[in-house]
Amino acid sequence: MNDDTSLIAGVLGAMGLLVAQRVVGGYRWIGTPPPWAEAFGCTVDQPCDLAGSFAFMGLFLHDAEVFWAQAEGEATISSAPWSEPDQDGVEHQLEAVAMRLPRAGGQADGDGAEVIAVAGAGADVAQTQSILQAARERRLAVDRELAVRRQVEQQLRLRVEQRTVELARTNEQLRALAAQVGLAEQRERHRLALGLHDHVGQLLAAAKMQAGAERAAAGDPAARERLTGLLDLMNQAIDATRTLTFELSPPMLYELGLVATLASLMEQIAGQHPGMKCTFRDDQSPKSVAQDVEVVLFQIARELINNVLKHAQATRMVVETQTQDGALVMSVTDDGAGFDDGVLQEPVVGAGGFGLYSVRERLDHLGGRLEVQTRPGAGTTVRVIAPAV
Amino acid sequence: MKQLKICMLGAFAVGKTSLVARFVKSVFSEKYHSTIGVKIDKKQLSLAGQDLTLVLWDLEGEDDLVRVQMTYLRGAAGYLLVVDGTRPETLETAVLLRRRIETEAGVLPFVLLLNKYDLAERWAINDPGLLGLRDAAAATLNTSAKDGLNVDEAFTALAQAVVDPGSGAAEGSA
Repeated sequence: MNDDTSLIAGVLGAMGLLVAQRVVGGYRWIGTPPPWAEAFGCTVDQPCDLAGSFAFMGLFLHDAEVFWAQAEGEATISSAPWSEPDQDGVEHQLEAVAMRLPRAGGQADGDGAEVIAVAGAGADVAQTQSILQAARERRLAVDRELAVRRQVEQQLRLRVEQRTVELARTNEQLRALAAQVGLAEQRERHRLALGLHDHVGQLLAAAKMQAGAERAAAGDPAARERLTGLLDLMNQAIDATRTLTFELSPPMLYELGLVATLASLMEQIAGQHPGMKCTFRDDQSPKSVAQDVEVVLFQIARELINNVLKHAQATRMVVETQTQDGALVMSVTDDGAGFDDGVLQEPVVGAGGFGLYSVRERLDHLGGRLEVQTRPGAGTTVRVIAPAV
Repeated sequence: MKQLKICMLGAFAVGKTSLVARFVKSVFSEKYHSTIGVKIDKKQLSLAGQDLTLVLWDLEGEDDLVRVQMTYLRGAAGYLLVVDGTRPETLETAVLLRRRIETEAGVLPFVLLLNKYDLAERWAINDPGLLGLRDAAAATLNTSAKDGLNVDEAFTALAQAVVDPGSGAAEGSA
């Protein structure tokens, strides 16, 4: 050891630092190891084994060797602070420095250099710690707030999804219920229509026949005139019964099917509305639709036709039935006022559009669909596509 | 006695120091105390009749301010990769750390710890594949330094994976 190195080592030792010098095959103590280092097994009467005494020093001295291999001249490397327990398990905050110094009159390169290693206890990391800690605590608070926010958002999303599913299920149940109610109503109307047709109608016909016979047998002209009046009233009652029967539920719908009934309905309407040209067209293809569906379709057709009669101010109306891709397609077209189809997206009861919305809901439940083509002043075409059987 | 150098790695404040404290001293503190540099500890362990000393290198956590020095892994037999289960971003840090370890220090066995499981009601990690870490880890465990859940098991699983790589320590409970 040259004089400069001795001086440096002496000063460092006096500062309570552990100082060692590199020799061939390892290190040797310079001066007496300080009391804190004795707890790590570093005593003057023991061989100097820095890597064995401190788990960190092996890695640090290796890093120093790597550093010196690349550096030239005088070179010092400092460790990061580290903490390590001594042989009694007491933790020490430590720091190390390794210096390569020139020999007297020589260069600090290769074998011509002196290397000393210094380790110190009680390294002060408080300031670094407090700056880092403050920054990280702020970051941690932000991270936690974000995590909570994400969790709340996820819960809300989940609840919205659940509610959406529940709402869809409720809507489907309501549609099913409405369809059931519609069918029950149709069956009740059909029962009433059958009663009118088969019972009241037959009784009126029988009474008419009897009144006719009485009139033929009557000798008194005054009595014959009264019977003629009675027969007129009976004819009106029979006509009213027929009309009511048709309006309630045309028996021919059950006997002859949708196409024939629609043709008959259009004929009736043409008679009742001479100012409007009413046309019915059918492609003559076989229509395979369940009877319950036919009943709903007839109900829908009547609603669409009534819409034209009440609101469209049309001069022409065409009802058409045909088969397309196996499905029955029924359309009602008019040349009337048309409307803004935006009302169909958000219908309001009493403000228009709700009737078509209701038709669409009933068709959805059956697996069918509704298409509307219209614009103000350009007439309307409503196409009802029934589900294929 | 055989010594194994084991490193603790992960983002800051995931509980690395707390896991070591629970394993070595059976203590836990709620107070967060940022590690500066590295904290070294030792713990003896008996594994299938073999006495081992685990030298635990608890490295300071990675974040925007501090980058873990990969040279600290030199001589390590394996590492525990720690994630805070309530902070999903710490999983991303773990993925990046593992990638850097493999590039700079080589492939080492590791055990993935999803820590702070005592806060399960605030759990924010739902990815079943854990961004590819689960398949690569020797084991994946839900841990809690606070109540000691799976802490000893984590260190034992890593020691097992190091000593006997074919032991099937990969059966995690997370």
